[in-house]
Amino acid sequence: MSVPTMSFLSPVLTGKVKRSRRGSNRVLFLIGATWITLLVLAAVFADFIPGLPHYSEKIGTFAQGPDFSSLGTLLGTDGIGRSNLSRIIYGARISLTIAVCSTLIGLGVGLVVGLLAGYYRGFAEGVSTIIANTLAALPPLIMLLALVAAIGASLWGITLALGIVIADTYIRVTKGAVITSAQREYVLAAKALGATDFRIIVREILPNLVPVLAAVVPISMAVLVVVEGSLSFLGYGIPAPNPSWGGMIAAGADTIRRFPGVIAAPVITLFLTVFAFNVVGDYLGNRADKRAAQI
Amino acid sequence: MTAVAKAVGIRLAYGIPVFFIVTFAMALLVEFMPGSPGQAILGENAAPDAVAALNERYGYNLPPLERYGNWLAGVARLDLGTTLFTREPVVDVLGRRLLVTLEVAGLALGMALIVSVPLALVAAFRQGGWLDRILNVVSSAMLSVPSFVSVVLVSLIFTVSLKAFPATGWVPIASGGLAENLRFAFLPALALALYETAFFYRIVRSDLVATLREDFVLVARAKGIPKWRTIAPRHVLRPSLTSLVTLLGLAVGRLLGGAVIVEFFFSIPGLGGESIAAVGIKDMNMLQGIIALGVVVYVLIFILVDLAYAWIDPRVSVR
Repeated sequence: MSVPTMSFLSPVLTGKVKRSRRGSNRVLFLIGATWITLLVLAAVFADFIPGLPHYSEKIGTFAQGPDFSSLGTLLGTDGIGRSNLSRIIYGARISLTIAVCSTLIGLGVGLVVGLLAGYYRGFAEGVSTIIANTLAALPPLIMLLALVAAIGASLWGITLALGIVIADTYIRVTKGAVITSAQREYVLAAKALGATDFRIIVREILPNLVPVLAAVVPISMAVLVVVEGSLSFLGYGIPAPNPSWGGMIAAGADTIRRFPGVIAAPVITLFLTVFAFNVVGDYLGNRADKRAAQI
Repeated sequence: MTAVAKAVGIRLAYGIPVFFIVTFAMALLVEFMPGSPGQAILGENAAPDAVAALNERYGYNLPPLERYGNWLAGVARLDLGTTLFTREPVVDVLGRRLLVTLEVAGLALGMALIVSVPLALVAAFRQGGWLDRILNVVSSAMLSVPSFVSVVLVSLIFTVSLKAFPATGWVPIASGGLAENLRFAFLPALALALYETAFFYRIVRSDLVATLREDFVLVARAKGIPKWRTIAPRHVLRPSLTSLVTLLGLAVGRLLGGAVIVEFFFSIPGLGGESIAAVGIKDMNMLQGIIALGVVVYVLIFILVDLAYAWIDPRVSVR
C-alpha cells in the first residue's frame, strides 16, 4: 500500500491540490517567456553589455533615483552608490545558475528514482516513498539553513542543498507519470515484441515524461528563485560583495526609512521573474493535461 | 472505530522511519558544520583546551552515533536536552516558541479564510464578471510575491507610511494583555496571510465553479430555493469542504516551517526565528528539537486530514 505524500514547498506541485484552469492565457505565456529569455541573455552576456558598469563599482552618490543619462544609472543606485541595473543583471546570473543547476540535480535524482520506482514498483517504490516522505516532511527553509551551514554558503553548496530539497517533487511527479505510462498499450506492445526493460524505459516511457516534466520545471524554477532569495535575505546565501536579489532586498529593507526607492528595482525584478516562471509553467501544464486527456 | 485505529496505526508506521532518518540526518549535518559548540560559547579567541574541556563537559566531543543514541534515549523520556547558551530544557523552549508561531499562523489562516471564501463564492456565482476577472489577475500576481518581499511591503505600508503598527517585536498576552499582543501579531499575520488568501481563493473558486455545473444545483435553483441564503452554503460550499481541509493542512505545515522569514523580519520569538538562531550558534539540541517537532506535526496533520475526509464525506472510508 502506498500512502500519498504532502509537500509544503509548493502545493501546486503535489497533485493533491488541483491546478487551476485559469492562467493558461497564451499572451501571458508569451510575455513570461520573453521576460525569461531577456533575463537569461542579459545574465549570460552581462560582461559584454556596452556601458554596463561592474556590480562592485561605485558610479555615483547613494540612493539616486532612475536617471536615463547612462545605462548604469537607469534603475538608480543602491545604498552605497552602486548601479542597481548592474547588480540586478549580475544577481540574475547567480540566481539563475543556482536555480538551473539545482533543477538539474533534482531532475536527475527524480528521474532515476522515479523511473525505477514507477516501472518496477515493489521494493523500489517502497524506498522511493520513504525518500520522498522524508524530504517532504522537512521544513524546507530550516533544513536548508542547516544544510548550507554544513556544506558552506558557496555557489555549489547552495546549489546542492536546493537540489536535495527540490528532488522529492521530481521523484513524485516522475513516479506518477511512469505508472500511468507503463500501463499504456504501446508499452504492452513493446513488451510483446520482446523489448528489454532498458529499451522500454528509454524509448517508450521517457519521451512521454517530457510534457509533464516540462510543466514542472518552470514552477520549480520559480520556487528555487524564491528559496535562493530567501536564503540571501536571511544572510545565508552567496556571500557579499556578490550581488543577489535577496541580498539587495534585505539591504534595501534596512534603509527603507531613509531611501524607500532603493528596494523597488530588485522587488519588481524578482516579482516579474517568479510570475513569468509560474505563468509559463501553468501554460505548459494545461497543455500537458490536454494532451494526456487525448491519449 | 477499529478501522480508524488501524488507519492511524498504518500512517504512524509510515512516519516512524521518516522520524529516524530526518533526525539522524540532522545529527550528521550538525557534525559537518564548522566550529564547535564550545567555540560558540567561549568565542573566537578562546584557548583550545578550554574549548575542548567545555565540549567534553556537555558531551559534544562524543562520536556522532553515540550522541545520536543518547539523544534518542532522551526522546523516549521526553527529554530533548538543554539549549546551548541558556541551558534551559529544549522542551520548554519549544513549547513556548510553538505557541507564538501557532498564534501568528492561526491569525493568518483566519484572515485568509474570512477574505478568500466569500470572494470565491461571489466570483464563482458571477463567473466571468468584473470581480472574477480582477481577482483572477490579482490572486495569481499575489502568488508570485515571496514572503521576504511581502514582509517588506507590509512594513513599508503600515509602519513607515501609516505608522499604525509597531515595526518589530512581540508582547505576550500574559504581560501586555490581548489588545497589545494583537497589535504586535497583526502585521506578521497579515504578511503570511497574503499568499494564503490568494492560494485559498484560487483553489476554492475553481472548486465552486465545478460544483455549480452539477445537476443538483440546477434542480435547487429550479425549485426556487434562495440562492445566497441556502444554495450557496448548503449546496455549493459544502462539497468544497474536503479541498478546504487539504488546503488548511498544507497551510499549517507551510506556516509552521515556513514562517522563518516573517518571524525573522518582525523579530518574533517563534520557532522560525529560533531555528535561525540555532543554526547560527550550532545549537544541536535545539535544531534536533525543532526538526523532530516538525516531523511529528507533519505526520499528525497528514493523519488528521485523512480522518477529516472520512468525517466530512460519508462516501470516503478510512483505510
